[in-house]
Amino acid sequence: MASPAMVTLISSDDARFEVTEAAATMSQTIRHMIEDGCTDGGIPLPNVPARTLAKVLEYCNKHAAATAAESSAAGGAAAGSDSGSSSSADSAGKDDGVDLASFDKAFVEVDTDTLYDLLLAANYLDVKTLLDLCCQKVADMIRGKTPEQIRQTFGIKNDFSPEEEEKIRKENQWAFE
Amino acid sequence: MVLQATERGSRGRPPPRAADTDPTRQPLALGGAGCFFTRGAVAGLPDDALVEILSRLPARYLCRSKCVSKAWRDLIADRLRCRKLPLTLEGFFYGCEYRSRKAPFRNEGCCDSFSDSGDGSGSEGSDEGVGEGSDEGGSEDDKEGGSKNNDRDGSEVCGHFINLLGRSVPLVDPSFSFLRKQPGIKNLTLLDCCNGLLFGQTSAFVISPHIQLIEFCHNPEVELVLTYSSEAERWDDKPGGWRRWKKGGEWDLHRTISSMKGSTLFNKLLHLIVSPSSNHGFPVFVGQSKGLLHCLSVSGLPDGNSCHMTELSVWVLEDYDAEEWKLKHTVSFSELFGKKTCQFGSDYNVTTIHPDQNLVFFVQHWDYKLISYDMDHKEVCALCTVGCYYGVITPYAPYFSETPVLSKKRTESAAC
Repeated sequence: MASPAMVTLISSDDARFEVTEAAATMSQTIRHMIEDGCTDGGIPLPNVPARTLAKVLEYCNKHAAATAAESSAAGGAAAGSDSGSSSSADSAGKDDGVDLASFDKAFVEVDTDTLYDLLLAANYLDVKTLLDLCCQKVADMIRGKTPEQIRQTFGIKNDFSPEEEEKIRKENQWAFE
Repeated sequence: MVLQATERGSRGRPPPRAADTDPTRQPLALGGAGCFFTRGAVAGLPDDALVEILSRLPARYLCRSKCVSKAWRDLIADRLRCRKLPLTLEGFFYGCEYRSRKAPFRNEGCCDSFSDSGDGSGSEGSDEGVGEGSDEGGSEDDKEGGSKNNDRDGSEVCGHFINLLGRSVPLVDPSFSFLRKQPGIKNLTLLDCCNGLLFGQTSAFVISPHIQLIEFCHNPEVELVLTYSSEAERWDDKPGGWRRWKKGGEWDLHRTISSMKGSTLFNKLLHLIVSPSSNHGFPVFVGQSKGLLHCLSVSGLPDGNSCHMTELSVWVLEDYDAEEWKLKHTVSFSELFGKKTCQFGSDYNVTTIHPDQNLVFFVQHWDYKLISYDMDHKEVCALCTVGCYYGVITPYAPYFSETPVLSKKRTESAAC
C-alpha cells in the first residue's frame, strides 16, 4: 500500500507540521490552497500559532482516520456477501461513533482561551465540524449564566450604565425569572 | 456591520490579564474581513462566530445575553442576523377582528416584510364582507358570519395585546389605529403572525415583495383554496390541483381541514390536520415547539363520542423522517379545565403551543379565559379574560429587534 500523501503546514511562529492530506483537507481553506497548487515548501498559516495548530491537527487526524475507517468498513460490508462480515463492520462503525463523540467531548474540555483559539482557528481554517463543536461548547458555557457571570467568564466589560442595564432587564424580565 | 465589529473590538476588550503578557500570544488577524482583535474576549470574536454561538442558545438565555454589553445587545437586535437566532412567543393579539363567530382563517407563508393583506374589494359596510377571500369565498363567509360582521364593521376600533414577557412598553398599539388612519383602510382583521410579521385583512393592500399566502375557505370542508402571490398581485383559486390531491390522495370527502387546529410551516411544507369526521382520539392542533413538530390530540371514553373527551395528549415528532410520533405528555381535562369532559371547539380551543417552552395555551369558552398549561410542572395559569368577542387570538413571536418595519409604518402614518 502506497504511503498516504503528506503536506507540510507552517504555523505563524514557523513551526512545521507534517500531516496526511486527508487530515489537512478537513480544512476547506487548506483544501483550496492544495487545489491551487500552493503547497511547495509547505503551506503557511500566518493566523494560527503552533500551539493551536497542533490541537486542530489532533482533531483532524482523529476525524480523518475515523472517516477512512468508516468508508473502508462500509466498502467491506458492501463487498462482503455473508451476513457475518457486514454485522461486524456495523458494530465497528458504531464503536467509532461512540469513540468520536467522547473524543469530541474531551477535546473541548479546555480553558476558555484555548477554546477561543480553537474556535478562531476553526473559523479561519474553515473546519466546519470543529467550528460547530467549539460554538456549541461556548453556547453551553453561556447557558444558565447571568449576564454578570457571562462577562466574568469571557472577560467582557460591562459598558451599560446602571440605568440602561435596568431598562433592558425590565424589558426582558421573563428571561430572568 | 464593519462599524459594529470595530466597536466591539474596542469596547469589549478585557482588562489585561496575566495570559495577555505571554509573548507567544499575539493579536490575530482573522478571516476574510481582516479584522484585528485581542484575545480573551468573546466580544472580540468575529460577529459571525458569535452569532453561530448565540444561535445555539434557547431564547431565554439569548434574551438574557442582551444585558452583557452594548455590542452583544446590538448584535442580538440586528435584524439581518436575527434570522439565525431563536424566536420566542411575546404575547397574543386578540379582539382586533370583527368576524367573531367565524372560524379564523389561518394563513401561512414565507414573508420578508410587513403586509396587510386584502384585495381592495371590500368597502366599509358593504355586503361583500371584508378582505380578500370575499370575492370568491363570499358565499361561504355570508352563511357563517357575514351579517354579524357587518353589524360591527368599522363601528369600533379595538384590539388587545396580552404581554407574556412583562415588557414595560407595549410593542405596538394593538388596535392598529395607525393603520386605519392610512387612506383606504377602513377595517382590519388580524389573521396570523409569521416570522415576526403580522398578517391582517384590510380593505386596502400594501404591496410587499415575496409574499405567498394560502387561504382555505371551508364550510365545513375545504371547498376552496386561495393563494395569493405578491408578484401577480392577486388571489388565485386553484381548484384543479387541490381537488386532484383531494381525490387522488389519501384524503377524501370524509376528512376535513379545520384552520382552528393550527397549521405550521415545517421543512418547507405546510402541515395541517386533516381529520377524519369520525371522532375517536382525534388531533386538535399542530404546531412547532423547540424546532420540532408537535401535535395535540384528545381521547376519551370508549364510546367514541366527541362530547366525552377526557384527556389531552401532546405528541412530538422527534425524527421527522422516521414519522414516529412520540408521546410527550398527557393531562386529563379535570386537571386542565376542571371539567371531566370537554368538547373541542364548543368548550375550548387550542391557541398555540409555546415555541421554546413546554407550555400550551387554550381559551375556555365557558368563562372566555385564556389559560396556559405548563407541562413540566402540571400547572394551569389563567392569563386573562378575553371576552366572548375575542375573535382570533394571534400568537406573536417577534424578531429580537425593535421591529423597524412596524415603527417605520408608525412614522409614516403619523406623517399622513
